Amino acid sequence: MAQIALPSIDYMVILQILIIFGSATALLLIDLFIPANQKKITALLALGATIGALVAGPYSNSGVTMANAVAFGSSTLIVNSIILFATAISILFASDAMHKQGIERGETYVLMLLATGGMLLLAQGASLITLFLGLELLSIALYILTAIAYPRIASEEAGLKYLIIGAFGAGFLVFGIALTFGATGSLVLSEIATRIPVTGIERSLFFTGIGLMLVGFGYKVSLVPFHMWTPDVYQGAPTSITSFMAVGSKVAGFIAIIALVQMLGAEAQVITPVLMGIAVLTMLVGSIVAINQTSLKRMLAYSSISHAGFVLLGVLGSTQATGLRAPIFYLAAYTLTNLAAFGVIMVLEGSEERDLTLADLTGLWTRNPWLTGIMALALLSLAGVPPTVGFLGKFLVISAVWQSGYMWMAIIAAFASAFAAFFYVRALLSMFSGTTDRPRMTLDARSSLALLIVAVGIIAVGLMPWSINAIALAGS
Amino acid sequence: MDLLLFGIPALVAIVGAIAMLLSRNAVHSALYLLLNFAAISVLYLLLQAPFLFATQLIIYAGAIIVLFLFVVMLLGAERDEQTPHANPWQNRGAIVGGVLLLVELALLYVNNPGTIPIAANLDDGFAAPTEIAKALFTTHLLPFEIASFVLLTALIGVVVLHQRRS
Repeated sequence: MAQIALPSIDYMVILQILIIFGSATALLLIDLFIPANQKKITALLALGATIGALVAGPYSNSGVTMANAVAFGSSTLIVNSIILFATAISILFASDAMHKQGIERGETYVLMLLATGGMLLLAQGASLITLFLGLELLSIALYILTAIAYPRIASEEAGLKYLIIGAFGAGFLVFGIALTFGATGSLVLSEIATRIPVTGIERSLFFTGIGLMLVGFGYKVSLVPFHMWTPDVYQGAPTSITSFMAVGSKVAGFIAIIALVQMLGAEAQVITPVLMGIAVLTMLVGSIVAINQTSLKRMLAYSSISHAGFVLLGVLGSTQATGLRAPIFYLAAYTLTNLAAFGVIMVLEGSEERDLTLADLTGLWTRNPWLTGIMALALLSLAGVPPTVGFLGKFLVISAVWQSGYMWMAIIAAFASAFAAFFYVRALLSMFSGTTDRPRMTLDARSSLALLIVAVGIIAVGLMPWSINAIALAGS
Repeated sequence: MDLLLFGIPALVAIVGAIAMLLSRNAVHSALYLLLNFAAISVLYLLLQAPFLFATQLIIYAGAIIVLFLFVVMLLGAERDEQTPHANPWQNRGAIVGGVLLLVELALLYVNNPGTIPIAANLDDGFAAPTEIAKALFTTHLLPFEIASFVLLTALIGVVVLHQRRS
């Protein structure tokens, strides 16, 4: 009988993943002993685990482990921190909003931790199979979270829609992985990079595989034309989950796309024209369709589509010299801004289950100046107005694209953000003008804390250019 | 001979898959899926992987299809409700787009002729249970562990979405 020798495992490389998965498992059991009206304890424990993983980041070892399945490096540290930050803020949001709406369940936080684990696997994945499983774990947890707002029919409908579209996208991804494996005989990204076929049918197979994989990830980050599900799902899901989904799955999905583009190296030029076209379409469709929306969540959904185009542009504009500074910084900016925008919408919803429209923002200034200020910051940052972090993100992407010689792309990007600005300014003006007879509103401590952190982040990261350098260092 | 042995089950698998999609009766769909699974299991046999052949038959063709049939019949959801299609151009557009993509791919492969490499190393017992176990605990150790979490998540989902407060 042959002995099976387990591969050597460097637990310090997967430290953050271990903390998240370990605490998710433990929390699932602990939650059984927490009474139904005390679920904020579960939220607190999940928050503690997330912060623990965030703090553990700098102590992790760089390297590759578990038979080349996962890696950790300096850029991973930044991306993991963005993901864990988004999770921590989302747990605070969910704990407040779901309690108010009477849909709080202990499993919500366990599922959020499991989804976070999937995101970390996408960020750290060094083989195609890890990327696939990370995406599946993330998606399955999000399908459930989307549909969790029983008895709201819209939530169930959104969950089902997301499940079907998501499964369809996963089919493309797994078929792409199979073809790539067939052409190169390896699933490990670094090995595939050295074995890219140069001629013949293998090359056709390889690029068919890459194309299918990009479709699969395109669904996840809602690039046009794989974006149709986004507005419906964002609108139907509970708002605290929407913010988590909008931010986390986009960051994680893009990191996987970046890993694929990096794997291709110089061969990436084969797919660059296609990705350029997708980036332009995504930016324009997202920005232009957003103008017509009255529902705030649908508007933010289209805005997130438009932002996905910008990130993709940043990925394409990245060269050896600039590294991944532009896309990673843009993702950080997107995270802070969207958490703030969705957070304010969530607070405005309160215990109502109604879908908020633009008219609900009217006269917000008289109801709560602080909330108005945060929403204004978020809208300005979405539009890319200095001194917010959104401006710096757009600036970095457009200048990276300009420097790598795609001038007309930079011009289209500037136009797209001008289109998008129209809607944000309209929402901004309606908050300060008009009067409303609705009562003043007070904020829960958890939401206030979370909103304060992201608002400070939007300004602070936008004002301190050294923060870009930290990310620039990571971008190699 | 090899080509014929491969071609027949491959064709059956494709026909089964298409018939499953087009069938309006959910029970028929499940049965076509069974046909598809059975045809694929023959492909495993051609790859000299009898263990995978048996697993495919027992788990997919056996357990999973039975589960499908039970659920469909318990829910009484055999008949597809005739829903008016919102946008008739969507279907036609999808078919045209799909055909275009297939033609494009076909041209790509015709213009770059060559033999498809053999990805698997077909030596004796490469798909024996021992080898599969070895792969699961060495090369694919992490994916193996993550798969358990994927299943756990799905399980939590079933309980959460099913067990509602009254």
